[in-house]
Amino acid sequence: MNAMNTTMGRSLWGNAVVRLRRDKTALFCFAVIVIYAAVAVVSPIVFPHWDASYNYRLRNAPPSFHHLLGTDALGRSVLVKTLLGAHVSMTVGFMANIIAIPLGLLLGAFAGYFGRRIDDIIVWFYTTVASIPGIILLIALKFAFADRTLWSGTPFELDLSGMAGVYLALGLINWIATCRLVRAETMKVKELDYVLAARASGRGDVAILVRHIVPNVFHIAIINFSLGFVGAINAEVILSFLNIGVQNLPSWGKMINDARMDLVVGRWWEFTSAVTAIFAVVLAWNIFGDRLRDALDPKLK
Amino acid sequence: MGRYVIRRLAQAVVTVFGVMLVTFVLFRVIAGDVSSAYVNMKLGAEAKLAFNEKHKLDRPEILNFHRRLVLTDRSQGNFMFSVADSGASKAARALELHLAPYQPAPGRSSQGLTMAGRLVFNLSPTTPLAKMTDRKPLTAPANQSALPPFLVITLSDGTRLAINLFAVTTCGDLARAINGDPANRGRLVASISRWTPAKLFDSQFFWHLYENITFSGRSYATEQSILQTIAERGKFSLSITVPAMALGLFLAMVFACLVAYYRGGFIDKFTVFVTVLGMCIPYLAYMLLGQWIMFNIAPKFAAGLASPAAIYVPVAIAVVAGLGGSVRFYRVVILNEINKDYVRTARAKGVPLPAILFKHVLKNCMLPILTEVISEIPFLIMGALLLEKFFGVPGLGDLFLTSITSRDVPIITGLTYFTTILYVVSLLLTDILYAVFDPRIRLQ
Repeated sequence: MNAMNTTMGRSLWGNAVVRLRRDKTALFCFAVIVIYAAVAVVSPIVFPHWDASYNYRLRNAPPSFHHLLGTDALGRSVLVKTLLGAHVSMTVGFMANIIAIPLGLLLGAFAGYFGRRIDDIIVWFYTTVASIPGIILLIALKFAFADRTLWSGTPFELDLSGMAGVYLALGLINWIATCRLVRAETMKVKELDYVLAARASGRGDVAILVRHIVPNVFHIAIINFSLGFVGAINAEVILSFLNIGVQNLPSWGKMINDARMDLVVGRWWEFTSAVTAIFAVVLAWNIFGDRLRDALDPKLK
Repeated sequence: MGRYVIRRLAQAVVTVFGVMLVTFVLFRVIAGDVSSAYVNMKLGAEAKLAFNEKHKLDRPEILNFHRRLVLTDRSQGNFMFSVADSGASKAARALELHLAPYQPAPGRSSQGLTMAGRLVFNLSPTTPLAKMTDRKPLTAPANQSALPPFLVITLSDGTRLAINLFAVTTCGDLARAINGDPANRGRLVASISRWTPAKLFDSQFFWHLYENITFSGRSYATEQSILQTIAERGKFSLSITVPAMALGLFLAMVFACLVAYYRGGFIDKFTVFVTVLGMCIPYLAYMLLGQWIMFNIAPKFAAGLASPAAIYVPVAIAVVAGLGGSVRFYRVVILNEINKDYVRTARAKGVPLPAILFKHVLKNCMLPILTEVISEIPFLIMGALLLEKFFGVPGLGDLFLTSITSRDVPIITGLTYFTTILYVVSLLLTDILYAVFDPRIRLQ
């Protein structure tokens, strides 16, 4: 990316950065996202003992000076719980994308570039997966992962019944959108003059893919990052609500689940904090994603 | 046209096959052994075998090359007893197998039958017995060779065969030892079955395909078939989703037309702003808030199906929660159409805007609208998953979630497959409708 920025004129990325910098709304939304990410990283370090901070005399206390957002059913601070919830949400959003984006980019570029059989197989595969409704596939994947452990006995042991399963399930669903768009774009890009020139000068397929095609379809992956992130946050909330998501960590979905009977008896603080936290970050991602797309996709101008 | 439809149909079939493959890998291979949720461990390995046998989980996964040790009890009647179906058939009770020198492991009533069940796998006359069971070798371990193991078989007429397993190392040896036992005298005939090509497809995968295609899967918990379950529970799902979809479509169209009519103005901007905000509120918040509001108005309708009217709380929530997205979608559809030349011509001629909107634009928007509506059909049956769970509506979504917790694989598989079929078929329908109504579109 840096190499591109220094080329003559302004590259796609340079242009996008300049345009995003001028856009006050986009900057604000980006700041919100950065704050959430920072909270996600810092809060488990600052409040390591929140989980055990029971206080039975202060159960379900309304917001007060001492506990700004009240306390939950075990007398623990809801404010801290909300801050800690950011950790789960941000990690899930990030990890799901870390799995989904390379997968979608790789398979999409392969399908679009090589065409024929490879294309047929990849398209068949994603059509198949995409034809299972998302939420059902998500729950089904979590079910299938319920007592699976990958590489057990090695240092890379992955217990799929916990967080890792949520990342993997979301990653295995989210790659399709990226793959579809990258494939379509690759098919266009591979007919362009510079790719033809590279091929005429004898570059191999892999070199053309890595040097010429992937950098020119990469913006699609970046645009999909925001969509995938929002999807992952919402999915985590739903999974935690259904008790098949994150188990031992405070998360916004679990807060809503804990508060399902609270509203009726007038305890609004836990529900409201979780919903507000989700709302703000989803809104920020949505607006920032829109602006990013406008900045990166010159055709939409 | 005909060729297009046939090609599209072939694509759909390939996709459906893919879905069967995916559900098989997910629910049978990755999910692993679920019998522990249905078989009481105190009943021993025998009960588990019977369960596996009944639901065809004892078969090999992809293709069946297995031969079986067949024991035919000729002492009473003349029925064939095969170890493969020992657990479930009455023959199992007529013939008891005991492994004499070994104490049955705690919790297992009949070690012998367990052993017999394990014998089913990968038999050939030269297969060593010790390798066949993945848990306990049939022959005595090397360090206990002082005790010659005996296999005691009690036949239905009370004859007891005590087969010395001292020299028995392969299945062929076992069959020969049983046949040659002095007390046997032809009462129990042991042989190793021949493998026939017809058996090749007697495997978990092909049973899975068969059950999917014929919808003949049965719930582990209730023994009810998938079709019956869908018929019974589906109506509750439909009673939420159909009104929600109809009302949602109507409201979305009204709002979208309104917004398109005032495009660029304050109402347009305000509506877009509100829909964006609405889309950022998590679905769960709509549910909880909806229930809270209903609780304050009329508490007895806030949950459950105590009265039929209570169904309209989830319906209202589904409509409100879905409105943001669909208004945005239809607005873009209508705006795309409004910017076309024929609209400009009509306006230049002096046709009033409402007339253009309702007479021409909406008609031309029908295709994308239809696509959107048809693509929502699969969600009719399962769409209200969370709502059903939360409001205690006994629909298919609720059943799906219950089956996930109770690990009822046939129901999970069946419902996933059914929804997917609906989705594939509705996509197929949309594409064909497109080809019929829009001559510009043809598959390249």
